[in-house]
Amino acid sequence: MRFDNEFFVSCFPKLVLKIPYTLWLGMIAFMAAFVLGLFLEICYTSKNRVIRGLAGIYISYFRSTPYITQLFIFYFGLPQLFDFMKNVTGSTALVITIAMNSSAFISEIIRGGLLSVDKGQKEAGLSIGLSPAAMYKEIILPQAFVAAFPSLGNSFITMIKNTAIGFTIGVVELLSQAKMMGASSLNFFEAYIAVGIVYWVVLVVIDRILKLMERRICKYL
Amino acid sequence: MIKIQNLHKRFGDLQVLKGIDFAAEEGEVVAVIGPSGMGKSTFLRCINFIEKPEKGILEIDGIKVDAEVCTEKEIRNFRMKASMVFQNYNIFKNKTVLQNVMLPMTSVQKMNRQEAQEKALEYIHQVGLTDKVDEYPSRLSGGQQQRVGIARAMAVDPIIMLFDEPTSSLDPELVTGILEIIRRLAKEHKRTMLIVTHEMRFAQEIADRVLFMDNGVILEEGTPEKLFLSPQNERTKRFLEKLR
Repeated sequence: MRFDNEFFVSCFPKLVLKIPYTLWLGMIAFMAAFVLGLFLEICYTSKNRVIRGLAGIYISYFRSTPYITQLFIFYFGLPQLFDFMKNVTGSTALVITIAMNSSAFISEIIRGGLLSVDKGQKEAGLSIGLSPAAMYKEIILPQAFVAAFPSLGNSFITMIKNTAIGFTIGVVELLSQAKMMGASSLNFFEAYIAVGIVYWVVLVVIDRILKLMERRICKYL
Repeated sequence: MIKIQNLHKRFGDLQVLKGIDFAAEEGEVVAVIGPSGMGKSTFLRCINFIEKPEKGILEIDGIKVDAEVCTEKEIRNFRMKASMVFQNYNIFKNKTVLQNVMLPMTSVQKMNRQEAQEKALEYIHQVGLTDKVDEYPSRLSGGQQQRVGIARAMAVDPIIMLFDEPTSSLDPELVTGILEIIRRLAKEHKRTMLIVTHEMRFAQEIADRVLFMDNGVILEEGTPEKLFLSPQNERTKRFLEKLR
């Protein structure tokens, strides 16, 4: 067995340059997923049975099929049906599908957060005469957000890692970069080890930041 | 002036309130006693529309609501006339003491922040928590939380204050402090007060009138002397005897 140390070390600068792009994809996807998740949750608790049913099917589909299947359907499948989808770039497809996939999970996290707000808090809000809007703004959403924050953080981490699947449709993010470097020098092992370390360090740092944020946000607990 | 006629409330098959009639003058302090689970709390919660009664006509300070036909807006206007002090405090966990007490004024009464803050500090002073204004509830003891609950209920500036067993979840040594605050409020006779309590001596001392509730109705009422010393109804007698 041989391990090309020189090549291994030379991988890092190129990979580090790709970190912002990967984070960017993850961040956009997360914001979209949050908005979509909130929308889904509103649909899911709607009084209209059809809307509720559609939201249920959406959540069920995205939770119960592998993410990569969803990506392939979106990127390879749908353009056969709809011409305009042929113009969708790989990175756009990646962000959209990650967001759609995670929104199903995030809507459940949001529901959990809302349910965790103590009934007594709402009763007190009613008692002092808060309007429904004020009740959400002042009491329910802030408390639900705190309860949901750790799970939202986990979702964000999952989403960053899911961007790696972008390599299957030619999005040049971290993993594709490593694959290309490995292929051009036939040092696959070194390249993949290097990218593994880069992911690991990035996500440990993100996890740390999330923990710090958590402590700030949960200051009243 | 508060007047309630023929109040009915059920939970599923259980008829909790079976036609309650009640009236109180401004400034009157009324204690509600009776066995647990017989509708005392529900009675208070219906007055504040935390539970929606099925039937009944409620009137506080000229605002009248018919439970069978009322809009959300009517209910909200009606709620502002009353405020509640809860058994388990229910002060807003995500807000400091000051923010808790300011919220009814800034968010509901649309008072400007400065004025609301001055008033809030005054209420907080009255319950003796001036040194805790910027603390979050999790850092307060039960007794301190209940003081915030009382200050917040005062900030609503209600015609009637509803106390739902305000000392029931407190450690014994903290009870007297809370009772002392309620006693002081009662003596001012500015607000009508309706107090559900198991502290019989306290009820006897501060109330102008005592109601005995059992099985969803007001069985007997009268001055504390009359009700505690010479109860007329058999069940009132039995209830009071058990407590001796």
